[in-house]
Amino acid sequence: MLRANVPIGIEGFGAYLPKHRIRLRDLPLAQGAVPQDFEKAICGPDEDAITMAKEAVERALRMAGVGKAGIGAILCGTTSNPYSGKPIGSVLSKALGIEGPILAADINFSGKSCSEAFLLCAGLVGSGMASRAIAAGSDSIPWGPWNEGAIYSSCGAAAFVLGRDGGSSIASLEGSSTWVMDALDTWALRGSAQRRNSGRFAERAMVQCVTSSVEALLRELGLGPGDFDHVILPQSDPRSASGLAKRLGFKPEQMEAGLVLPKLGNVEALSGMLGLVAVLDVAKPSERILVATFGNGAGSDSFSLLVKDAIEERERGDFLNQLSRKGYVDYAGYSRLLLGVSVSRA
Amino acid sequence: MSASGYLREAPRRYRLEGAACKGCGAIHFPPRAVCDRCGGRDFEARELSGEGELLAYTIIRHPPKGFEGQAPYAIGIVQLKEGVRVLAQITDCDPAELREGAKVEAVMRRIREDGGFIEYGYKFRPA
Repeated sequence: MLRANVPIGIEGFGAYLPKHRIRLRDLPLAQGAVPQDFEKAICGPDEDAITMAKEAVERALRMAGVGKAGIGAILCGTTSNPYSGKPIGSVLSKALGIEGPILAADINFSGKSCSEAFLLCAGLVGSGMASRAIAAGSDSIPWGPWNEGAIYSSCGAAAFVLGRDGGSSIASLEGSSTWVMDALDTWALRGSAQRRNSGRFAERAMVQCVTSSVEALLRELGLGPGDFDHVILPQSDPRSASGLAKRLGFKPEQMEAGLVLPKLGNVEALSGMLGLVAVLDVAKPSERILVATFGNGAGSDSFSLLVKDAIEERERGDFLNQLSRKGYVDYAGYSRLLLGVSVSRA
Repeated sequence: MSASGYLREAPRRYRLEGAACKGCGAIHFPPRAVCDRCGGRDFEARELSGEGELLAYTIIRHPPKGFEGQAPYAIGIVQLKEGVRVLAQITDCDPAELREGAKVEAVMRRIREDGGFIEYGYKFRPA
């Protein structure tokens, strides 16, 4: 188990969701193959992983109310940096006005990039290398006929301000665990937008990594499935979370608050971490949260959080507000957004 | 625009950083070398709130090069809380539903791709 030398806490969190949504039933290749009431977020013509990350980080900092002083690191998990040779982290540092002696970097390539950024930030704070660190995640994955496997792929960003656990933190990090396994479950070659999938073997890797990671965490913490009020499991498709929950002994009501797939789709690098934002938006003091993430070919991270009294003092509900702030586009509008052609609103 | 020129402007493009005159307190956006109220030359950087009111706008249906993917879009004059007026694109809205006097807030968005890099900058969206 990965555990910091000093207690770590979340001081603020935030998310950004684009306004545009499409109902999955409106995607021609998806008809009949996906739950008819699912929808997902789509970036506007002037949005990308950088603009979304900036908004999420600003919201997290606003909630933390700690200003920008003392931030020693900003790490961003993403699989869709609009640049292939320039990190999002440095753009964020400039955009936030904290350029200079801070560590700014991107964590790339997988569906658990955001939780990797989160655990690395916890390590930086826990080791004393930074008094505060920002862990962000932002992704904008287009779906198209060239990429059928990514039909749930979506857009959004999340951010967390981590610091030493004290009076100002809203949740304490109790411990974390990770399980890494090299697997060719789903992958993409450099320069290719096409995701390749090894079919049923892909699911096997996910089950093995997530169960190993979660079981190790529970063992180390001396906790059982019933000790958690909220559980967030990988939700890349409708079956994965419920299948894992059944296998690990979690009940549907534990999963409810953190299940964002039906409303938002699968925001690859941060799908689980967006679930955490959704839970923190409604969590009560003393509730315990389990987060487990999975990245294709990357393994699984899991960690446990204990919600503190200070959460009641924060202004929350922003995530739910953003869920309801939406406008639907049809398939034609979706195609135009993907191709960068104007969306006629006249 | 050159990469160096773009980066020089980044503080104001990314986070609406203006300049407050140390002599009379007047706020300028974009920053300027001489205060037009008191003639002072001493300024301190001041991040503006980004909250404002849409004073006037127009809808662009035939955009210039680099903006084709965004049309039709609105550009408007926004009066910020600090009293500064800013000309910017209005995003996240149906231009046909915009109204003068609407409350707006600043966001950082893609402006265009030019010169081999992506230009980001401020726009406003309905608050």
